[in-house]
Amino acid sequence: MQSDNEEKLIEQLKRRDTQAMAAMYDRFKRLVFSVIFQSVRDQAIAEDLTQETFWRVWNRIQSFDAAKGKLEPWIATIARNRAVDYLRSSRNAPQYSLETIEANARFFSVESPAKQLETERLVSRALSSLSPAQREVIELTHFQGFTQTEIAEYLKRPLGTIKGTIRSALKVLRESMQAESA
Amino acid sequence: MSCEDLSGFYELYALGVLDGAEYDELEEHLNRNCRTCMKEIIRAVQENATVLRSVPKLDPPAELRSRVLAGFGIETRPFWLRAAPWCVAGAALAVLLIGVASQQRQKTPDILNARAVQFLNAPGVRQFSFGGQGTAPHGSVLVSREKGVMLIVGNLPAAPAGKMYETWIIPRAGAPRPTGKLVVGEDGALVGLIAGPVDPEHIKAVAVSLEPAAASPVTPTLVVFAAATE
Repeated sequence: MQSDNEEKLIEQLKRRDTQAMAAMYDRFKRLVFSVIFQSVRDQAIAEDLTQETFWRVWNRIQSFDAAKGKLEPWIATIARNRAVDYLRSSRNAPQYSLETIEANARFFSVESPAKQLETERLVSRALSSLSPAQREVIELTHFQGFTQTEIAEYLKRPLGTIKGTIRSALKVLRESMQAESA
Repeated sequence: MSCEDLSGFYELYALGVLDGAEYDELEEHLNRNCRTCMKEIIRAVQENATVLRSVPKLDPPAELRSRVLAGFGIETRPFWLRAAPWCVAGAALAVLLIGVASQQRQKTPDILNARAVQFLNAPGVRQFSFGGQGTAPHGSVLVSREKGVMLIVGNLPAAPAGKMYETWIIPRAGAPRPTGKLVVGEDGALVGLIAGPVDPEHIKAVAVSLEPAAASPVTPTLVVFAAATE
Protein backbone atom coordinates (compact mmCIF):
# COMPACT_ATOMS: atom_id res chain seq x y z
CA MET A 1 0.00 0.00 0.00
CA GLN A 2 1.38 3.42 -0.87
CA SER A 3 0.35 6.66 0.79
CA ASP A 4 -0.01 9.59 -1.56
CA ASN A 5 0.93 12.16 0.99
CA GLU A 6 2.30 12.51 4.47
CA GLU A 7 -0.97 13.44 6.09
CA LYS A 8 -2.66 10.35 4.71
CA LEU A 9 0.25 8.23 5.87
CA ILE A 10 -0.02 9.62 9.38
CA GLU A 11 -3.74 8.93 9.47
CA GLN A 12 -3.17 5.35 8.38
CA LEU A 13 -0.57 4.86 11.06
CA LYS A 14 -2.85 6.37 13.67
CA ARG A 15 -5.46 3.81 12.70
CA ARG A 16 -2.78 1.25 13.54
CA ASP A 17 -2.65 0.14 9.94
CA THR A 18 0.54 -1.88 10.00
CA GLN A 19 0.67 -1.93 6.21
CA ALA A 20 1.33 1.81 6.33
CA MET A 21 4.62 1.05 8.01
CA ALA A 22 5.87 -0.28 4.69
CA ALA A 23 5.29 3.14 3.15
CA MET A 24 6.80 4.81 6.19
CA TYR A 25 9.87 2.61 5.97
CA ASP A 26 10.32 3.19 2.26
CA ARG A 27 10.03 6.95 2.70
CA PHE A 28 12.37 7.38 5.65
CA LYS A 29 14.71 4.38 5.62
CA ARG A 30 17.65 6.34 4.14
CA LEU A 31 17.30 9.19 6.59
CA VAL A 32 17.00 6.93 9.64
CA PHE A 33 19.80 4.61 8.63
CA SER A 34 22.07 7.50 7.64
CA VAL A 35 21.62 9.44 10.89
CA ILE A 36 22.20 6.32 12.95
CA PHE A 37 25.16 5.17 10.91
CA GLN A 38 26.70 8.62 11.25
CA SER A 39 26.57 8.06 15.01
CA VAL A 40 27.50 4.42 15.50
CA ARG A 41 29.65 3.74 12.38
CA ASP A 42 28.79 0.07 12.47
CA GLN A 43 26.44 -1.42 9.92
CA ALA A 44 25.04 -4.24 12.04
CA ILE A 45 24.34 -1.94 14.97
CA ALA A 46 22.88 0.68 12.65
CA GLU A 47 20.50 -1.93 11.27
CA ASP A 48 19.35 -2.94 14.74
CA LEU A 49 18.85 0.67 15.78
CA THR A 50 17.02 1.46 12.54
CA GLN A 51 14.62 -1.32 13.36
CA GLU A 52 14.12 0.04 16.87
CA THR A 53 13.65 3.57 15.55
CA PHE A 54 10.75 2.56 13.35
CA TRP A 55 9.20 0.84 16.29
CA ARG A 56 9.51 4.03 18.31
CA VAL A 57 7.90 5.97 15.51
CA TRP A 58 5.02 3.51 15.46
CA ASN A 59 4.54 3.90 19.21
CA ARG A 60 4.65 7.68 19.11
CA ILE A 61 2.68 8.47 15.99
CA GLN A 62 -0.70 8.46 17.69
CA SER A 63 -0.79 12.13 18.57
CA PHE A 64 1.44 13.50 15.85
CA ASP A 65 -0.19 16.60 14.43
CA ALA A 66 0.39 16.79 10.70
CA ALA A 67 -0.70 20.43 10.65
CA LYS A 68 1.99 21.32 13.14
CA GLY A 69 5.10 19.91 11.61
CA LYS A 70 6.72 17.44 9.31
CA LEU A 71 7.63 13.86 9.98
CA GLU A 72 11.16 14.09 8.69
CA PRO A 73 12.81 16.22 11.42
CA TRP A 74 10.89 14.38 14.09
CA ILE A 75 12.01 11.00 12.80
CA ALA A 76 15.59 12.21 12.36
CA THR A 77 15.59 13.31 15.99
CA ILE A 78 14.21 9.98 17.16
CA ALA A 79 16.90 8.17 15.16
CA ARG A 80 19.66 10.36 16.62
CA ASN A 81 18.41 9.86 20.14
CA ARG A 82 18.21 6.11 19.75
CA ALA A 83 21.80 6.08 18.53
CA VAL A 84 22.96 8.36 21.34
CA ASP A 85 21.15 6.21 23.91
CA TYR A 86 23.06 3.24 22.56
CA LEU A 87 26.43 5.01 22.53
CA ARG A 88 25.98 6.40 26.02
CA SER A 89 25.08 3.03 27.43
CA SER A 90 28.06 1.52 25.62
CA ARG A 91 30.49 3.93 27.21
CA ASN A 92 28.70 4.02 30.59
CA ALA A 93 28.02 7.72 30.18
CA PRO A 94 25.25 9.37 32.20
CA GLN A 95 21.85 8.84 30.66
CA TYR A 96 19.72 11.85 29.88
CA SER A 97 16.13 12.00 28.88
CA LEU A 98 15.85 12.83 25.21
CA GLU A 99 12.10 12.53 24.92
CA THR A 100 11.30 16.21 24.72
CA ILE A 101 13.86 16.78 22.06
CA GLU A 102 11.79 14.46 19.92
CA ALA A 103 8.56 16.08 20.99
CA ASN A 104 9.87 19.52 20.15
CA ALA A 105 11.14 18.45 16.77
CA ARG A 106 7.58 18.57 15.48
CA PHE A 107 7.65 22.37 15.69
CA PHE A 108 9.46 22.69 12.44
CA SER A 109 7.65 25.04 10.16
CA VAL A 110 5.99 23.19 7.36
CA GLU A 111 8.31 24.35 4.66
CA SER A 112 8.24 23.33 1.05
CA PRO A 113 10.42 20.42 -0.06
CA ALA A 114 12.42 22.82 -2.21
CA LYS A 115 13.12 25.15 0.69
CA GLN A 116 13.88 22.21 2.94
CA LEU A 117 16.42 20.92 0.46
CA GLU A 118 17.94 24.37 0.18
CA THR A 119 18.27 24.62 3.97
CA GLU A 120 19.93 21.23 4.14
CA ARG A 121 22.24 22.20 1.32
CA LEU A 122 23.27 25.34 3.17
CA VAL A 123 23.82 23.42 6.38
CA SER A 124 25.89 20.83 4.53
CA ARG A 125 27.94 23.63 3.06
CA ALA A 126 28.33 25.23 6.49
CA LEU A 127 29.43 21.90 7.94
CA SER A 128 31.99 21.57 5.19
CA SER A 129 33.30 25.03 5.95
CA LEU A 130 34.01 24.17 9.57
CA SER A 131 37.58 23.58 10.64
CA PRO A 132 38.50 19.96 11.49
CA ALA A 133 38.35 20.82 15.19
CA GLN A 134 34.92 22.41 14.82
CA ARG A 135 33.57 19.47 12.83
CA GLU A 136 34.92 17.11 15.45
CA VAL A 137 33.03 18.76 18.29
CA ILE A 138 29.80 18.94 16.28
CA GLU A 139 30.17 15.25 15.54
CA LEU A 140 30.70 14.53 19.22
CA THR A 141 27.79 16.63 20.49
CA HIS A 142 25.18 16.04 17.80
CA PHE A 143 25.91 12.45 16.84
CA GLN A 144 27.79 10.93 19.76
CA GLY A 145 26.00 12.62 22.65
CA PHE A 146 29.13 13.91 24.40
CA THR A 147 28.92 16.77 26.87
CA GLN A 148 31.51 19.56 26.82
CA THR A 149 33.29 18.00 29.78
CA GLU A 150 33.31 14.57 28.17
CA ILE A 151 34.73 16.02 24.97
CA ALA A 152 37.52 17.76 26.88
CA GLU A 153 38.39 14.49 28.61
CA TYR A 154 38.09 12.45 25.43
CA LEU A 155 40.21 14.81 23.33
CA LYS A 156 42.54 15.68 26.22
CA ARG A 157 42.12 19.38 25.60
CA PRO A 158 41.30 22.18 28.03
CA LEU A 159 37.60 22.58 28.69
CA GLY A 160 37.78 26.27 27.82
CA THR A 161 39.21 25.45 24.42
CA ILE A 162 36.45 22.94 23.77
CA LYS A 163 33.79 25.42 24.78
CA GLY A 164 35.23 28.02 22.43
CA THR A 165 35.38 25.56 19.57
CA ILE A 166 31.80 24.42 20.10
CA ARG A 167 30.59 27.98 20.35
CA SER A 168 32.23 29.05 17.12
CA ALA A 169 31.03 25.95 15.26
CA LEU A 170 27.46 26.43 16.38
CA LYS A 171 27.61 30.08 15.36
CA VAL A 172 28.55 29.09 11.82
CA LEU A 173 25.69 26.59 11.63
CA ARG A 174 23.20 28.97 13.18
CA GLU A 175 24.07 31.73 10.78
CA SER A 176 23.73 29.43 7.79
CA MET A 177 20.20 28.50 8.82
CA GLN A 178 19.18 31.99 9.78
CA ALA A 179 20.43 33.29 6.47
CA GLU A 180 18.12 30.84 4.74
CA SER A 181 15.08 31.75 6.81
CA ALA A 182 15.70 35.51 6.52
CA MET B 1 25.17 35.30 32.82
CA SER B 2 22.95 37.20 30.45
CA CYS B 3 20.89 35.57 27.70
CA GLU B 4 23.55 36.78 25.28
CA ASP B 5 26.21 34.99 27.30
CA LEU B 6 24.16 31.82 27.01
CA SER B 7 23.58 32.17 23.29
CA GLY B 8 26.20 29.57 22.41
CA PHE B 9 24.70 26.91 24.61
CA TYR B 10 21.06 26.56 23.61
CA GLU B 11 21.83 23.91 21.00
CA LEU B 12 23.75 21.83 23.52
CA TYR B 13 20.95 22.11 26.06
CA ALA B 14 18.44 21.04 23.43
CA LEU B 15 20.63 18.07 22.56
CA GLY B 16 20.76 17.04 26.22
CA VAL B 17 24.55 17.48 26.36
CA LEU B 18 25.02 20.77 28.21
CA ASP B 19 26.70 20.47 31.58
CA GLY B 20 28.64 22.53 34.08
CA ALA B 21 28.09 26.14 35.00
CA GLU B 22 26.33 26.95 31.74
CA TYR B 23 23.73 24.29 32.43
CA ASP B 24 23.12 25.76 35.89
CA GLU B 25 22.87 29.27 34.50
CA LEU B 26 20.44 28.28 31.78
CA GLU B 27 18.36 26.40 34.30
CA GLU B 28 18.22 29.54 36.39
CA HIS B 29 16.96 31.56 33.43
CA LEU B 30 14.30 28.98 32.72
CA ASN B 31 13.29 28.89 36.35
CA ARG B 32 12.47 32.55 36.14
CA ASN B 33 10.53 32.05 32.90
CA CYS B 34 13.04 33.84 30.72
CA ARG B 35 11.15 34.10 27.45
CA THR B 36 14.28 34.71 25.43
CA CYS B 37 15.84 31.46 26.61
CA MET B 38 12.63 29.52 26.15
CA LYS B 39 12.27 30.69 22.57
CA GLU B 40 15.92 30.06 21.86
CA ILE B 41 15.67 26.48 23.09
CA ILE B 42 12.82 25.74 20.72
CA ARG B 43 14.79 27.33 17.89
CA ALA B 44 17.81 25.26 18.83
CA VAL B 45 15.82 22.02 18.76
CA GLN B 46 14.73 22.83 15.25
CA GLU B 47 18.19 23.74 14.07
CA ASN B 48 19.65 20.61 15.58
CA ALA B 49 17.18 18.55 13.56
CA THR B 50 18.26 20.32 10.38
CA VAL B 51 21.87 19.38 11.09
CA LEU B 52 20.79 15.76 11.54
CA ARG B 53 18.93 15.79 8.24
CA SER B 54 21.97 17.08 6.40
CA VAL B 55 24.05 13.94 6.92
CA PRO B 56 25.26 12.13 3.80
CA LYS B 57 22.54 9.68 2.85
CA LEU B 58 23.22 5.96 2.79
CA ASP B 59 20.95 3.17 1.64
CA PRO B 60 20.35 0.47 4.22
CA PRO B 61 20.76 -3.11 3.00
CA ALA B 62 17.72 -4.38 1.12
CA GLU B 63 17.13 -7.24 3.54
CA LEU B 64 16.60 -4.81 6.41
CA ARG B 65 13.20 -3.92 4.99
CA SER B 66 11.77 -7.38 5.58
CA ARG B 67 13.36 -7.48 9.02
CA VAL B 68 11.82 -4.18 10.06
CA LEU B 69 8.42 -4.89 8.58
CA ALA B 70 8.36 -8.34 10.12
CA GLY B 71 8.22 -6.52 13.42
CA PHE B 72 4.83 -5.20 12.41
CA GLY B 73 3.55 -8.59 11.30
CA ILE B 74 3.59 -7.63 7.67
CA GLU B 75 5.75 -10.42 6.38
CA THR B 76 6.55 -12.65 9.33
CA ARG B 77 5.47 -12.90 12.90
CA PRO B 78 7.04 -10.17 15.02
CA PHE B 79 10.02 -11.65 16.75
CA TRP B 80 11.39 -8.68 18.62
CA LEU B 81 8.10 -7.14 19.66
CA ARG B 82 8.36 -8.74 23.07
CA ALA B 83 12.01 -7.80 23.38
CA ALA B 84 11.50 -4.07 23.30
CA PRO B 85 9.12 -3.11 26.09
CA TRP B 86 11.25 -0.04 26.79
CA CYS B 87 10.11 1.41 23.50
CA VAL B 88 6.52 1.40 24.73
CA ALA B 89 7.46 2.87 28.10
CA GLY B 90 9.51 5.62 26.54
CA ALA B 91 6.83 6.79 24.17
CA ALA B 92 4.52 8.50 26.59
CA LEU B 93 5.79 12.03 26.95
CA ALA B 94 6.56 12.77 23.34
CA VAL B 95 3.08 11.61 22.41
CA LEU B 96 1.59 13.60 25.23
CA LEU B 97 3.35 16.83 24.43
CA ILE B 98 2.32 16.58 20.83
CA GLY B 99 -1.24 15.93 21.95
CA VAL B 100 -1.29 18.81 24.37
CA ALA B 101 0.20 21.19 21.86
CA SER B 102 -2.37 20.20 19.30
CA GLN B 103 -5.00 21.42 21.72
CA GLN B 104 -3.17 24.71 21.97
CA ARG B 105 -2.66 25.28 18.28
CA GLN B 106 -3.49 28.94 18.46
CA LYS B 107 -1.16 29.56 21.37
CA THR B 108 2.59 29.65 21.63
CA PRO B 109 4.00 26.33 22.82
CA ASP B 110 7.34 27.79 23.80
CA ILE B 111 6.91 27.98 27.54
CA LEU B 112 5.14 24.66 27.81
CA ASN B 113 7.88 22.93 25.92
CA ALA B 114 10.80 24.81 27.36
CA ARG B 115 9.60 24.04 30.86
CA ALA B 116 9.22 20.41 29.97
CA VAL B 117 12.70 20.37 28.41
CA GLN B 118 14.06 21.84 31.61
CA PHE B 119 12.16 19.44 33.80
CA LEU B 120 13.20 16.45 31.75
CA ASN B 121 16.83 17.46 31.96
CA ALA B 122 16.65 16.83 35.68
CA PRO B 123 18.30 13.55 36.61
CA GLY B 124 16.01 10.60 37.26
CA VAL B 125 12.76 12.25 36.19
CA ARG B 126 9.90 9.78 35.79
CA GLN B 127 6.88 10.29 33.59
CA PHE B 128 3.39 8.88 33.84
CA SER B 129 0.72 9.28 31.18
CA PHE B 130 -2.98 9.38 31.78
CA GLY B 131 -6.14 9.61 29.74
CA GLY B 132 -6.38 8.84 26.09
CA GLN B 133 -7.44 10.39 22.87
CA GLY B 134 -10.79 11.94 22.15
CA THR B 135 -12.41 14.50 24.37
CA ALA B 136 -11.25 13.25 27.77
CA PRO B 137 -8.45 15.13 29.53
CA HIS B 138 -5.12 13.54 28.86
CA GLY B 139 -1.57 14.36 29.69
CA SER B 140 1.41 13.45 31.75
CA VAL B 141 2.77 13.77 35.24
CA LEU B 142 6.52 14.31 35.57
CA VAL B 143 8.04 13.41 38.91
CA SER B 144 11.56 14.42 39.82
CA ARG B 145 13.07 13.86 43.22
CA GLU B 146 15.04 17.07 42.71
CA LYS B 147 12.59 19.35 40.90
CA GLY B 148 9.24 18.19 42.22
CA VAL B 149 6.10 17.34 40.32
CA MET B 150 4.83 18.83 37.07
CA LEU B 151 1.44 18.19 35.54
CA ILE B 152 0.80 18.78 31.85
CA VAL B 153 -2.77 18.35 30.72
CA GLY B 154 -4.68 18.84 27.51
CA ASN B 155 -8.36 18.62 26.61
CA LEU B 156 -9.36 20.34 29.80
CA PRO B 157 -12.33 22.64 29.15
CA ALA B 158 -12.49 26.04 30.77
CA ALA B 159 -13.84 25.86 34.30
CA PRO B 160 -17.48 26.95 34.65
CA ALA B 161 -18.17 30.40 36.05
CA GLY B 162 -17.42 30.56 39.74
CA LYS B 163 -15.34 27.37 39.66
CA MET B 164 -11.64 26.62 39.43
CA TYR B 165 -9.56 23.55 38.93
CA GLU B 166 -7.62 22.45 41.99
CA THR B 167 -4.69 20.05 41.91
CA TRP B 168 -4.12 17.38 44.51
CA ILE B 169 -1.35 15.06 45.55
CA ILE B 170 -2.70 11.68 46.55
CA PRO B 171 -0.15 10.17 48.95
CA ARG B 172 0.30 6.48 49.50
CA ALA B 173 -0.84 7.00 53.04
CA GLY B 174 -3.06 9.73 54.37
CA ALA B 175 -5.53 12.19 52.93
CA PRO B 176 -5.31 13.98 49.55
CA ARG B 177 -3.37 17.22 49.80
CA PRO B 178 -4.43 20.32 47.80
CA THR B 179 -1.45 21.80 45.97
CA GLY B 180 -2.80 24.80 44.16
CA LYS B 181 -5.01 26.04 41.39
CA LEU B 182 -4.42 24.64 37.92
CA VAL B 183 -3.11 27.39 35.73
CA VAL B 184 -4.57 27.24 32.24
CA GLY B 185 -2.83 30.10 30.56
CA GLU B 186 -1.87 31.34 27.16
CA ASP B 187 0.98 28.91 27.07
CA GLY B 188 -1.07 25.84 27.74
CA ALA B 189 -2.33 23.94 30.71
CA LEU B 190 0.67 23.57 32.90
CA VAL B 191 1.32 23.69 36.59
CA GLY B 192 4.24 22.95 38.87
CA LEU B 193 2.52 21.20 41.70
CA ILE B 194 5.36 20.97 44.15
CA ALA B 195 8.79 22.50 44.06
CA GLY B 196 11.28 19.78 44.89
CA PRO B 197 12.73 17.92 46.49
CA VAL B 198 10.00 15.30 46.82
CA ASP B 199 9.99 11.61 47.56
CA PRO B 200 8.39 9.97 44.51
CA GLU B 201 7.83 6.78 46.47
CA HIS B 202 5.33 8.56 48.70
CA ILE B 203 3.15 9.84 45.85
CA LYS B 204 0.42 7.54 44.60
CA ALA B 205 -1.36 9.86 42.16
CA VAL B 206 -2.02 13.42 41.09
CA ALA B 207 -5.64 14.51 40.71
CA VAL B 208 -7.55 17.53 39.47
CA SER B 209 -10.92 18.53 40.89
CA LEU B 210 -13.45 21.25 40.21
CA GLU B 211 -13.91 23.53 43.21
CA PRO B 212 -15.72 26.74 44.07
CA ALA B 213 -13.38 29.56 43.10
CA ALA B 214 -13.62 31.34 46.42
CA ALA B 215 -13.05 28.30 48.60
CA SER B 216 -9.91 26.66 49.91
CA PRO B 217 -10.84 22.99 49.67
CA VAL B 218 -9.81 20.42 52.24
CA THR B 219 -11.11 17.43 50.30
CA PRO B 220 -11.82 17.18 46.57
CA THR B 221 -15.40 18.15 45.64
CA LEU B 222 -15.63 16.82 42.09
CA VAL B 223 -12.64 14.87 40.79
CA VAL B 224 -12.17 15.50 37.05
CA PHE B 225 -9.35 13.01 36.64
CA ALA B 226 -6.59 11.30 38.57
CA ALA B 227 -3.25 10.23 37.18
CA ALA B 228 -1.45 7.37 38.87
CA THR B 229 2.29 7.77 39.46
CA GLU B 230 3.19 4.17 40.16
